[in-house]
Amino acid sequence: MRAIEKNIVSCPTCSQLVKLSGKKSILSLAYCPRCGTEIHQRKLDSIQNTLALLIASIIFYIPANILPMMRIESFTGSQSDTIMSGIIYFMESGSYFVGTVIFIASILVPILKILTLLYLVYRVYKRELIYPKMKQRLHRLTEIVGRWSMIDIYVVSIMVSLVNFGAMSKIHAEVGSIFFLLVVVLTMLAAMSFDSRLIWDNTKEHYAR
Amino acid sequence: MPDSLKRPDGEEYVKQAIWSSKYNRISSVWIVPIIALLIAGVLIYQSQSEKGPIIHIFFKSAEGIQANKSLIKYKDIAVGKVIDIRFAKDLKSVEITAELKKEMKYYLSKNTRFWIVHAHLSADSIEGLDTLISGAYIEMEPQAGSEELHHFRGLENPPVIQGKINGRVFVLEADDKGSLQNGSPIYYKKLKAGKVISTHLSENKKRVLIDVFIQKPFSQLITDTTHFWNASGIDATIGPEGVEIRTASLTSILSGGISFDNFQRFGRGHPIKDKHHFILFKNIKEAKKIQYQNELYFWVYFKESIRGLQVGSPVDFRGVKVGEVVNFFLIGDTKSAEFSIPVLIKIEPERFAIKNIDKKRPLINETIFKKFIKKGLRAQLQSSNLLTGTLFINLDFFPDTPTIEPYKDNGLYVFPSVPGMVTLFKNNLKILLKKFSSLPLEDMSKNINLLLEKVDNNTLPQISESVNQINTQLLPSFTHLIKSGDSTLEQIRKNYINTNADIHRQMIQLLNEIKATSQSIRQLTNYLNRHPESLIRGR
Repeated sequence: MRAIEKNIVSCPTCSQLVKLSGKKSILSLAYCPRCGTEIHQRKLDSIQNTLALLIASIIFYIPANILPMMRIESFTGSQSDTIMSGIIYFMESGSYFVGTVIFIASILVPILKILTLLYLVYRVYKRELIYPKMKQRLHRLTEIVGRWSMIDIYVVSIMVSLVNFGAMSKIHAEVGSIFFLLVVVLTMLAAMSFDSRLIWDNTKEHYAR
Repeated sequence: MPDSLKRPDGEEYVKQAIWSSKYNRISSVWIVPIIALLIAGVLIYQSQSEKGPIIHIFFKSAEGIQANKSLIKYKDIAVGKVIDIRFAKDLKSVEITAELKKEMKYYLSKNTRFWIVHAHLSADSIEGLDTLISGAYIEMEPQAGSEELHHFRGLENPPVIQGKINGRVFVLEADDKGSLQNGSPIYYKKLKAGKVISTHLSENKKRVLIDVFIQKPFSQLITDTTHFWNASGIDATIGPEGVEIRTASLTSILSGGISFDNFQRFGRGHPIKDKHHFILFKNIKEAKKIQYQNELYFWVYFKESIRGLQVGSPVDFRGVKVGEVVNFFLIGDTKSAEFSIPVLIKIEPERFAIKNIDKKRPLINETIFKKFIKKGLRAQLQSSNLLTGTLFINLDFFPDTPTIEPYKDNGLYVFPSVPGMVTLFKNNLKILLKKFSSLPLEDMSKNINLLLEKVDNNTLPQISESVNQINTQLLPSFTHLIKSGDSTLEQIRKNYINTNADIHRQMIQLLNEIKATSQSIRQLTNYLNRHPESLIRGR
């Protein structure tokens, strides 16, 4: 038995069990009779919000990769690096480990995260209940792994504050890092706004927005 | 459990929800992707609008230029970046692709120049030291123009004249390039007035043309009478005043240099166009020399020795130089066994003025000389210096000489000559001797004999009388005179010896001192030989 089948919701503020019956129209919102908190059976507009945030992160993902992340200024001249050119530089100079880590954290993870969330949103929207456990695991993974994409931002911010030798060499953060930051934050928000309970809601009657 | 805490049974745990109709179907989160789209749109617009023109520059070699690193600079400010370096299709040059800043779009005319800046060390200056650290870069000299070109040929060397300096370009003609280089300085009264832009061969491949650039205030000085000369190196002359060393500057010693001046003797001159051709003289002496446009050549045949006459010896007319000797030969004749020496002389008619000449042909020409020759103008060898025996050719009118009709030999008129002074003297002596020999000596001796007899008979007795008188009256006073003269002489001799001895003593002293000095100099040089470092350190 599930709460949604009994049409009962627990108030998120005062834990009052509320029976959602007597709904007047589609545009009605339910409130807790004890504390007056807005209550929903599932996260409100979960699919819609997730999709919106995903689209925004996809849009930001393009300048994040095209624009340079940081600029190294030394007495021999200045050099700007995008994510990809940095990875190539590490690979060419033989630092395969660092290169691989940055590649996974900065390129592979965000892309896989976006694709996974899109897949989940699509499946939920179509109300297909196949392998719900696998989907649940996927969602958990996106939430856990997602934050590791921030490693690139950490590297840039640490480098900027560490390497500052005046005229000798200096590192500046560039616009690309801000966009990359936005991508990471937006995908994290998208993963958060996705209600994993929707994965298990298979029937039409027990479907909540 | 107190009653107050007891919860109602069953349904009491679940309360009915309160409903309101506020729900909006569309989530407000959709603002996020809209903002994202807006930002992306702004970025795309910015990157598109900031995109500068992409140009291709061809260089012979791209020494020191790196793709994605080397900059294009103008006035030391980066205006672009090298994107790509590759060979041109024919492998003979290098194509450098570069992206310029947007604002440079309007400065890509055909006069826009590009060149690679390396560190460059010359006697004149040290340039591009910063490239030692930052690597070479491409310098751009923008020139506004209506057209927007995208293909350029890079200069091999940095242009000598950079930026917009007002001035004019002239061409100097020289026999050889000498030590001149691109960028060699040009001086006016030891002030730097310009630079050598380029040197190249003339069209007929016989002379060197030197393009020079003269800066603004100096360029106004240049007229058709301006003289340029090579001021390179050291000009040392040893003259009566001692050794005179003349140099322009250390730079011009090392890398050559040119000077120019408007000498007063050439007049004020007229303004000229750009790219006017000037002659580059070898030194200031040559430049100061007046160059004559017109030259008349004549032969002069001499029979006598011309020892002391040289190429360049002057040809004078009554002491005024009118020309010089160009060359001389020796021609012998087997039949007559006679030798004559044809001397080629050059007369520069601009050195003098002649009145009442044909107005149709105001220039002095050979016909005028023909007239003068008919009137007795002759060439003559004269000695200018009795000690060295140098000769010069003197022109003068000798009205007594037989008239000679001027004739041509080897295409040139022959200037008739009269024997020189020495020869003339010899000839006169000969004539005198001949006249002597033709005198009637026998008659003369007879007459003399008669005369002598007469003298014997009449005059001699009278003479003996007068002699007696002299003996008695004059002789005593004479002897007195001689005696007193003797004593004065003695006095003089004594004085002389005294002073002589004094001088002698002093001379010996002086010599001793010189000896001592030379000894100490020798000691010093010996010491310096062994310890040259003492020059710097001291003993």
